[in-house]
Amino acid sequence: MNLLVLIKCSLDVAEIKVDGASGRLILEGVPLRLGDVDKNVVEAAVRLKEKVGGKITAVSVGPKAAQDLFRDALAMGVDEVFLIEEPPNIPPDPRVLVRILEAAIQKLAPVDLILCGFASDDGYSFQVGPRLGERTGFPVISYARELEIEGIAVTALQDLEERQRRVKASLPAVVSIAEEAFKPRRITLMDALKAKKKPVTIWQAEGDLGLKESSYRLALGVKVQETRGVVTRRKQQMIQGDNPAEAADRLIDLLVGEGVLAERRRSDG
Amino acid sequence: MAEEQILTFSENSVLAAQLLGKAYRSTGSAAFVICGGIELPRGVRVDQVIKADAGHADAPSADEVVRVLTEAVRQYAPRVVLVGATKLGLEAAPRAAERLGCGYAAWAQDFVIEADGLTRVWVSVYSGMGTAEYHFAAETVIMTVPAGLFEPQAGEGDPLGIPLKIPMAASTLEVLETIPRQAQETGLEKARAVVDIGRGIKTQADIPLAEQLAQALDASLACSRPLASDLDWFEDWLGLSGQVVAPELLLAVGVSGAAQHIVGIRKARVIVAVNQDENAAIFTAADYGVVADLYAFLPLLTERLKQRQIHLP
Repeated sequence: MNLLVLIKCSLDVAEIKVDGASGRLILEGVPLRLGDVDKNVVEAAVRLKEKVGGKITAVSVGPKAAQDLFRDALAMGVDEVFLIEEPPNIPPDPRVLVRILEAAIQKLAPVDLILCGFASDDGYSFQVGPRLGERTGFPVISYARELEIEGIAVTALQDLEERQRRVKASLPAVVSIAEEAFKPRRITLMDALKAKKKPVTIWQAEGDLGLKESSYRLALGVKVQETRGVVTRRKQQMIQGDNPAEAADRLIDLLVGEGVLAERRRSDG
Repeated sequence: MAEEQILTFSENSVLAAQLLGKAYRSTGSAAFVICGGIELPRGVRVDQVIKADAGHADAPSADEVVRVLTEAVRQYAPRVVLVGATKLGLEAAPRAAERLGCGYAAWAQDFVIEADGLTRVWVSVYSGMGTAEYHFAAETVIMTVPAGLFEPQAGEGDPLGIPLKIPMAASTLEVLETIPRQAQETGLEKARAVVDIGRGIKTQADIPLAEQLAQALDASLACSRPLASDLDWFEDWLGLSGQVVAPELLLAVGVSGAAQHIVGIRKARVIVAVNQDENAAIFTAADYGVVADLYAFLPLLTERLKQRQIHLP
């Protein structure tokens, strides 16, 4: 079984700050990390491999600096990583991304199952799985919580809003993993040591995948004009008190002062 | 049909009503695309209903919605298609856009159709931390729109029904089992006060602590994503991928303050945060913060509210 996991080193969104005065998003110095859902994706693949055997290949698109950030994925059970270096001067748009991933999938063929997260931590636009399904013509199962391989088919429990649904699709297929499904396993020291010997190969979109910049630039069709931070102005006033009861009373007084709560006066009742 | 036509689609009738309201106010006409068991929202202005025959009256599959949206765009060449940002919408809309090669904007907040053929779209980026402005040249732009942004347009009457032929295709997914969830009427959208709980509540048995506070305040109870999505204690959560609320008062209790959660609560007029960790991100998104063990603080706060006969104004 050739299992392909599409994983991403995302910006740590919790570290993104907004400059209150200018409304500028401060992205400089925000660290990259393997996304939370990406670890769930790796866990889902490793559990399948434990049952049916095979190989897990991870494919990622990102900056070269990400090459050291796949250690946890390799320690968890990924066999090999291909990092396709982000083309310079092209915005990291899902339209472009899926064309690069599609070329990588063709190069790594035959592939039985492609697993990805329902959305990345930073982009969070829910597009890669669905678009890749269209590009490859493979069936798409979105928001999977449980996965089984049965012969040449995959069954999954889909986590939808008003229902869960167990569905079956023939392989090869694209499956996106739901949020917080497949809790990642703990990594042992032995796993970490073994991971050091596993290969991380860097590919270039043009040199290794034969993709001309013009081919994916055309796919874009959109110009990003401006990106600004959402400025929230909150009082951020911390309430102190000698004891919790005093803090509770002080909080109530402040909320009454704001007019969001009211105190019934003795004369009212 | 008008060149600036807007089509709308959502299987969620609350969202559908909001999208139709926006379409009507933008172009003077509200058109709704329908298939399978989707129902027309009631009591709102709808001028045209484009009906695709899915051959059944069940909830449509993503495959079907992709075919319906693709065919509707091919036949009507609308400038904009507004799709509700539900899990179904977020899967089907980018697939239709990829199939058509047209524009797509996820998490659209607002848009303007310019006379010169430009469509400007403002979208949430970085999990709601920022807003980007996208420009699309003259072509169809499909957008997924979350709930709570646009007002429905009241109206009634008899919309014009137009059948839409969609090509038949074998389903790529075989449905083996459907497990319905109990629909919960939370009333969160209209709540004047909300108690919002997070992972600081350690077990399901501790939820009454927050419920008692909510009762004392006549507030609705809501939660952050892990409590619903991971632990299944609630049906829905507050945040970018969940519900957005705009109460007068929101008390976030044991909530860490992830960016995606803040998107769901930042419309509240006053936010109070109670958390044991003084460095929790929620305090930067709050008006008033109390660093306290919620297990000790909540019962006290509830008691003081009752003793002082505090109520919503």
